Amino acid sequence: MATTPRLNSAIADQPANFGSVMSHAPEMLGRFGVLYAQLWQSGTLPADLREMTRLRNARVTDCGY
Amino acid sequence: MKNHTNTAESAVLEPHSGIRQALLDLLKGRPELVARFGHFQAAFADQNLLPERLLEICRVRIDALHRLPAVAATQLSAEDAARVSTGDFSCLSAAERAILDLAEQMTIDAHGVAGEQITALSRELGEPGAVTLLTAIALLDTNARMQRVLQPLRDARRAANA
Repeated sequence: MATTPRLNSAIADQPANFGSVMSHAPEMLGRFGVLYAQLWQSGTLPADLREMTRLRNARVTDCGY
Repeated sequence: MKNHTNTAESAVLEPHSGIRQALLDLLKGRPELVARFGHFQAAFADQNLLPERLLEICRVRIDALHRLPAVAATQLSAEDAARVSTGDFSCLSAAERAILDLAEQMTIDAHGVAGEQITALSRELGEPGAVTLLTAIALLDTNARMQRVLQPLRDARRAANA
Protein backbone atom coordinates (compact mmCIF):
# COMPACT_ATOMS: atom_id res chain seq x y z
CA MET A 1 0.00 0.00 0.00
CA ALA A 2 1.49 3.32 -1.08
CA THR A 3 0.98 6.04 1.48
CA THR A 4 3.87 8.21 0.35
CA PRO A 5 2.84 10.84 -2.19
CA ARG A 6 4.37 10.11 -5.57
CA LEU A 7 4.01 13.66 -6.85
CA ASN A 8 5.54 16.80 -5.39
CA SER A 9 3.83 19.45 -3.37
CA ALA A 10 2.69 22.44 -5.40
CA ILE A 11 3.03 24.70 -2.37
CA ALA A 12 6.44 25.95 -1.33
CA ASP A 13 7.57 24.88 2.14
CA GLN A 14 4.68 22.46 2.51
CA PRO A 15 5.10 18.69 2.45
CA ALA A 16 3.42 16.62 -0.20
CA ASN A 17 -0.01 15.59 0.97
CA PHE A 18 -3.43 15.35 -0.62
CA GLY A 19 -4.09 19.08 -0.59
CA SER A 20 -0.66 20.30 -1.57
CA VAL A 21 -0.34 17.82 -4.43
CA MET A 22 -3.84 18.51 -5.70
CA SER A 23 -2.92 22.20 -5.65
CA HIS A 24 -1.13 21.60 -8.93
CA ALA A 25 -4.64 21.96 -10.34
CA PRO A 26 -6.08 24.71 -8.13
CA GLU A 27 -9.29 25.32 -10.05
CA MET A 28 -10.16 21.64 -10.00
CA LEU A 29 -9.25 21.38 -6.33
CA GLY A 30 -11.45 24.36 -5.53
CA ARG A 31 -14.45 22.83 -7.23
CA PHE A 32 -13.79 19.50 -5.52
CA GLY A 33 -13.71 21.32 -2.19
CA VAL A 34 -17.09 22.92 -2.85
CA LEU A 35 -18.60 19.53 -3.70
CA TYR A 36 -16.96 17.82 -0.75
CA ALA A 37 -18.17 20.50 1.64
CA GLN A 38 -21.68 20.12 0.29
CA LEU A 39 -21.54 16.40 0.97
CA TRP A 40 -20.23 16.78 4.50
CA GLN A 41 -21.83 19.94 5.80
CA SER A 42 -25.39 19.49 4.64
CA GLY A 43 -27.73 16.80 3.55
CA THR A 44 -30.29 14.34 4.72
CA LEU A 45 -27.97 11.71 6.18
CA PRO A 46 -26.89 12.02 9.81
CA ALA A 47 -23.26 12.99 10.33
CA ASP A 48 -22.39 9.80 12.20
CA LEU A 49 -23.66 7.66 9.33
CA ARG A 50 -21.61 9.65 6.85
CA GLU A 51 -18.54 9.27 9.05
CA MET A 52 -19.05 5.53 9.43
CA THR A 53 -19.43 5.24 5.67
CA ARG A 54 -16.19 7.12 5.13
CA LEU A 55 -14.32 4.92 7.59
CA ARG A 56 -15.77 1.73 6.11
CA ASN A 57 -14.87 2.84 2.62
CA ALA A 58 -11.30 3.52 3.75
CA ARG A 59 -11.13 0.09 5.36
CA VAL A 60 -12.51 -1.78 2.36
CA THR A 61 -10.19 0.03 -0.05
CA ASP A 62 -7.24 -0.35 2.32
CA CYS A 63 -6.67 3.39 2.27
CA GLY A 64 -3.94 4.34 4.69
CA TYR A 65 -4.02 8.06 4.05
CA MET B 1 0.89 16.57 -24.35
CA LYS B 2 0.74 19.82 -22.43
CA ASN B 3 -1.37 22.92 -22.99
CA HIS B 4 -4.13 21.43 -25.06
CA THR B 5 -7.14 23.39 -26.09
CA ASN B 6 -10.46 21.65 -25.79
CA THR B 7 -12.95 22.56 -28.46
CA ALA B 8 -16.17 21.85 -26.62
CA GLU B 9 -16.65 22.24 -22.91
CA SER B 10 -17.22 18.95 -21.17
CA ALA B 11 -17.69 17.19 -24.47
CA VAL B 12 -15.82 14.16 -23.19
CA LEU B 13 -17.34 13.86 -19.78
CA GLU B 14 -20.73 14.95 -20.99
CA PRO B 15 -21.56 11.46 -22.27
CA HIS B 16 -21.95 10.78 -18.59
CA SER B 17 -25.04 12.92 -18.77
CA GLY B 18 -26.70 9.56 -18.25
CA ILE B 19 -25.46 9.44 -14.72
CA ARG B 20 -26.13 13.12 -14.23
CA GLN B 21 -29.66 12.62 -15.49
CA ALA B 22 -30.02 9.66 -13.17
CA LEU B 23 -28.85 11.86 -10.34
CA LEU B 24 -31.33 14.52 -11.34
CA ASP B 25 -34.10 11.97 -11.37
CA LEU B 26 -33.19 10.42 -8.06
CA LEU B 27 -31.95 13.46 -6.19
CA LYS B 28 -34.59 15.98 -7.09
CA GLY B 29 -34.54 17.13 -3.50
CA ARG B 30 -30.79 17.85 -3.67
CA PRO B 31 -30.33 20.05 -6.73
CA GLU B 32 -27.45 21.91 -5.10
CA LEU B 33 -25.51 18.65 -4.80
CA VAL B 34 -26.11 17.76 -8.42
CA ALA B 35 -25.07 21.26 -9.50
CA ARG B 36 -21.80 21.07 -7.59
CA PHE B 37 -21.10 17.62 -8.96
CA GLY B 38 -21.56 18.95 -12.48
CA HIS B 39 -19.40 21.99 -11.78
CA PHE B 40 -16.58 19.79 -10.51
CA GLN B 41 -16.91 17.46 -13.47
CA ALA B 42 -16.71 20.35 -15.92
CA ALA B 43 -13.38 21.47 -14.42
CA PHE B 44 -11.49 18.88 -16.45
CA ALA B 45 -12.49 20.52 -19.71
CA ASP B 46 -12.32 24.05 -18.39
CA GLN B 47 -8.68 23.73 -17.36
CA ASN B 48 -7.47 22.74 -20.83
CA LEU B 49 -4.73 20.64 -19.30
CA LEU B 50 -5.76 17.43 -20.97
CA PRO B 51 -6.81 16.59 -24.50
CA GLU B 52 -10.41 15.50 -24.81
CA ARG B 53 -9.32 12.40 -26.67
CA LEU B 54 -7.30 11.25 -23.68
CA LEU B 55 -10.24 11.63 -21.34
CA GLU B 56 -12.49 9.89 -23.79
CA ILE B 57 -10.35 6.81 -24.28
CA CYS B 58 -10.19 6.48 -20.50
CA ARG B 59 -13.97 6.82 -20.25
CA VAL B 60 -14.57 4.22 -22.96
CA ARG B 61 -12.30 1.68 -21.31
CA ILE B 62 -13.47 2.33 -17.74
CA ASP B 63 -17.13 2.07 -18.78
CA ALA B 64 -16.36 -1.23 -20.45
CA LEU B 65 -14.54 -2.54 -17.38
CA HIS B 66 -17.73 -1.85 -15.46
CA ARG B 67 -19.74 -3.55 -18.22
CA LEU B 68 -21.77 -0.44 -18.94
CA PRO B 69 -23.52 0.04 -22.28
CA ALA B 70 -21.31 1.83 -24.78
CA VAL B 71 -21.83 5.56 -25.13
CA ALA B 72 -20.98 7.13 -28.48
CA ALA B 73 -17.49 8.60 -28.60
CA THR B 74 -16.79 12.00 -30.12
CA GLN B 75 -13.01 11.87 -30.34
CA LEU B 76 -12.64 8.32 -31.63
CA SER B 77 -14.04 6.47 -34.57
CA ALA B 78 -16.67 3.89 -33.70
CA GLU B 79 -14.22 1.17 -34.70
CA ASP B 80 -11.44 2.49 -32.48
CA ALA B 81 -13.83 3.01 -29.58
CA ALA B 82 -14.93 -0.60 -29.91
CA ARG B 83 -11.30 -1.74 -29.89
CA VAL B 84 -10.43 0.35 -26.85
CA SER B 85 -13.49 -0.88 -24.99
CA THR B 86 -12.31 -4.47 -25.36
CA GLY B 87 -8.77 -3.70 -24.27
CA ASP B 88 -7.26 -3.63 -27.76
CA PHE B 89 -5.10 -0.50 -27.70
CA SER B 90 -3.33 -1.10 -31.01
CA CYS B 91 -4.94 2.01 -32.52
CA LEU B 92 -3.44 4.27 -29.84
CA SER B 93 -0.08 5.94 -29.44
CA ALA B 94 2.47 4.55 -27.00
CA ALA B 95 1.74 7.38 -24.57
CA GLU B 96 -1.99 6.76 -24.76
CA ARG B 97 -1.48 3.04 -24.20
CA ALA B 98 0.59 3.72 -21.11
CA ILE B 99 -2.09 6.04 -19.75
CA LEU B 100 -4.81 3.46 -20.42
CA ASP B 101 -2.76 0.81 -18.65
CA LEU B 102 -2.70 3.15 -15.66
CA ALA B 103 -6.43 3.88 -15.93
CA GLU B 104 -7.16 0.15 -16.01
CA GLN B 105 -4.95 -0.50 -13.02
CA MET B 106 -6.56 2.29 -11.00
CA THR B 107 -10.01 0.97 -11.83
CA ILE B 108 -9.25 -2.68 -11.08
CA ASP B 109 -6.82 -2.32 -8.18
CA ALA B 110 -5.47 1.11 -7.30
CA HIS B 111 -2.87 -0.40 -4.99
CA GLY B 112 -1.27 -2.04 -7.98
CA VAL B 113 -0.35 1.27 -9.63
CA ALA B 114 3.42 1.36 -9.80
CA GLY B 115 5.51 4.37 -8.87
CA GLU B 116 7.12 4.15 -12.30
CA GLN B 117 3.71 4.65 -13.91
CA ILE B 118 3.16 7.87 -11.97
CA THR B 119 6.66 9.07 -12.79
CA ALA B 120 6.10 8.39 -16.48
CA LEU B 121 2.72 10.12 -16.37
CA SER B 122 4.22 13.18 -14.74
CA ARG B 123 6.99 13.26 -17.32
CA GLU B 124 4.41 13.07 -20.11
CA LEU B 125 1.82 15.55 -18.83
CA GLY B 126 3.65 17.57 -16.20
CA GLU B 127 2.55 17.46 -12.58
CA PRO B 128 -0.59 19.57 -13.09
CA GLY B 129 -1.60 17.33 -15.96
CA ALA B 130 -0.82 14.19 -13.98
CA VAL B 131 -2.88 15.36 -11.01
CA THR B 132 -5.72 16.31 -13.32
CA LEU B 133 -5.68 13.01 -15.19
CA LEU B 134 -5.51 10.89 -12.04
CA THR B 135 -8.46 12.80 -10.64
CA ALA B 136 -10.35 12.43 -13.91
CA ILE B 137 -9.76 8.67 -13.90
CA ALA B 138 -11.07 8.49 -10.35
CA LEU B 139 -14.14 10.50 -11.34
CA LEU B 140 -14.78 8.38 -14.43
CA ASP B 141 -14.58 5.27 -12.26
CA THR B 142 -16.92 6.86 -9.74
CA ASN B 143 -19.36 7.82 -12.47
CA ALA B 144 -19.37 4.30 -13.83
CA ARG B 145 -19.92 2.80 -10.37
CA MET B 146 -22.74 5.23 -9.65
CA GLN B 147 -24.35 4.42 -12.95
CA ARG B 148 -24.20 0.72 -12.12
CA VAL B 149 -25.97 1.39 -8.85
CA LEU B 150 -28.42 4.09 -9.88
CA GLN B 151 -29.54 2.92 -13.29
CA PRO B 152 -31.61 -0.04 -12.00
CA LEU B 153 -33.33 2.26 -9.52
CA ARG B 154 -34.07 4.74 -12.25
CA ASP B 155 -35.37 1.99 -14.53
CA ALA B 156 -37.55 0.63 -11.73
CA ARG B 157 -39.05 4.06 -11.08
CA ARG B 158 -39.74 4.55 -14.75
CA ALA B 159 -41.38 1.16 -14.96
CA ALA B 160 -43.51 1.93 -11.92
CA ASN B 161 -44.62 5.21 -13.45
CA ALA B 162 -45.36 3.72 -16.87
